[in-house]
Amino acid sequence: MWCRYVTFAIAVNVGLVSVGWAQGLEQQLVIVVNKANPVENLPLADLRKIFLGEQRHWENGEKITVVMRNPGQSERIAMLQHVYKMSETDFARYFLKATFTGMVSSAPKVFATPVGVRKFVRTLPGAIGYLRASELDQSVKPVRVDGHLPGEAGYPLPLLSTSGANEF
Amino acid sequence: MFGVLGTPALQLRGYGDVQYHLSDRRGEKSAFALGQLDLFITSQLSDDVSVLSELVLEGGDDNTFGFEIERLLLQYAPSDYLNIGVGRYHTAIGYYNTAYHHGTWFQTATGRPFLFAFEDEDGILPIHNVGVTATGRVPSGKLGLHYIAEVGNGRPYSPGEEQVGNITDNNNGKAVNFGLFARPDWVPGFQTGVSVYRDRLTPKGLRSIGQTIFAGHAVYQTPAFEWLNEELVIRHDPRRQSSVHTAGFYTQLSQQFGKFRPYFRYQYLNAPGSDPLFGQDVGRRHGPTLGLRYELTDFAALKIQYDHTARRARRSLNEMTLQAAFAF
Repeated sequence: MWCRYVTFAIAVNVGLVSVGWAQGLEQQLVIVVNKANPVENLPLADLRKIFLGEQRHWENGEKITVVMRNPGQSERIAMLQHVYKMSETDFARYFLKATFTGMVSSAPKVFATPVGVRKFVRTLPGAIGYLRASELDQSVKPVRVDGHLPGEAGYPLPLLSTSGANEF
Repeated sequence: MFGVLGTPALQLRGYGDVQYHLSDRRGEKSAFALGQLDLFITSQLSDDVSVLSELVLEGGDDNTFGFEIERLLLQYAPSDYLNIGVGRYHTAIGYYNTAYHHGTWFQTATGRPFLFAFEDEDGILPIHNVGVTATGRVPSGKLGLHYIAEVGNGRPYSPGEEQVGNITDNNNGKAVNFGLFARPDWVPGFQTGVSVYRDRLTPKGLRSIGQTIFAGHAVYQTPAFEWLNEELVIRHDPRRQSSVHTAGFYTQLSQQFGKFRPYFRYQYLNAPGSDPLFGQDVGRRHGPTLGLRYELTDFAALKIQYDHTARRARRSLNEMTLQAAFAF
């Protein structure tokens, strides 16, 4: 399994893939965790629980820290639509309320660049974040969603078109 | 997590409201009123340990301000299966009491259902408790079961005295509360659950009374739509007397249309006149609430609400409330 991930990451980075496939990856998000994290696959429902703060620990007991991109960035908009199923306003209200009720202790960390996301996830064992699939490198570990990696049929986390970003 | 001195960082949020209230209640004058200034403070002491506090400044009927620690909890959450807190908390009876605390901005309506009114606003439940509260997941797959277990001082119910056992308890028995609720994966936004609260009350001037509160709820909430349903039965067992049951429920529906959110609530509460604690003061009351919430900004809302309350052996009440509620 791990060999496939490494092959996937290397292929993306050294361009051993067709231009069309690479362009496809540019248009998909990949969920990434720390390389020490044993998780290989997350059903979309579990991914939602993690990003909502309903699940706060990995099965190995490590505390989960969620990483988001800045408001307005296309990766974040796609995440809000496909995983949170919320608008930016709903997201802010949700975390205010979740903090107020004590369900979560803080809102997700926010980074402006994929470099920041990769660096944080690489450093913190319990971190989880997302990148454009074309921005994946070997410093972090991609996780399957519903059994699929980016580029595979049925992968549920495409980036949105510009028009889709304004649907909320 | 830590500040510049290596000490835990403090996060502060504020919630407030101002309202104008009109009513045909005898002797009551229409008035502008400052609501609650709610200071919500949290701090993460370590990965597993955090502090949560809710401090409220609020005006009273005598126009003076009072200060109260509504919640103060030291929490330890080593896993998803255990989140234990010690301090003052909102008792996990039913749904509303722990889903909504003191910030009215979070609530669709201008206030709580009268079933969940605060103790100092003629509420009948032990809304606050001081003790230990624990909650967590129950391994149950896609059913999403969670448990609640609490033990605390309970509500003294002594007339004319503080209605929360903050510092002392008037007996050695402790109030206990157990609950189970499910958030099934296959219906995101749906939650259903039950809880049972038990205490032996020794209010001053009255015989010892056993109190058992059964609660059940089924709610469906998404950012755009909500349907809340709760039912409670409160059983009082005065020593050497027969049991008395007080029952109540509410249902609340709302739907967001752009910046507008119309809402409807119907509530019912029936306390028999023979109840040793509630008696004629609570009685039977029921009626509809109609309201409209307008999102002025993402963090400020205007609400207008009409309440009609029919009361046993008393005139019905008609009330209108205009409220500005905000988060900052």
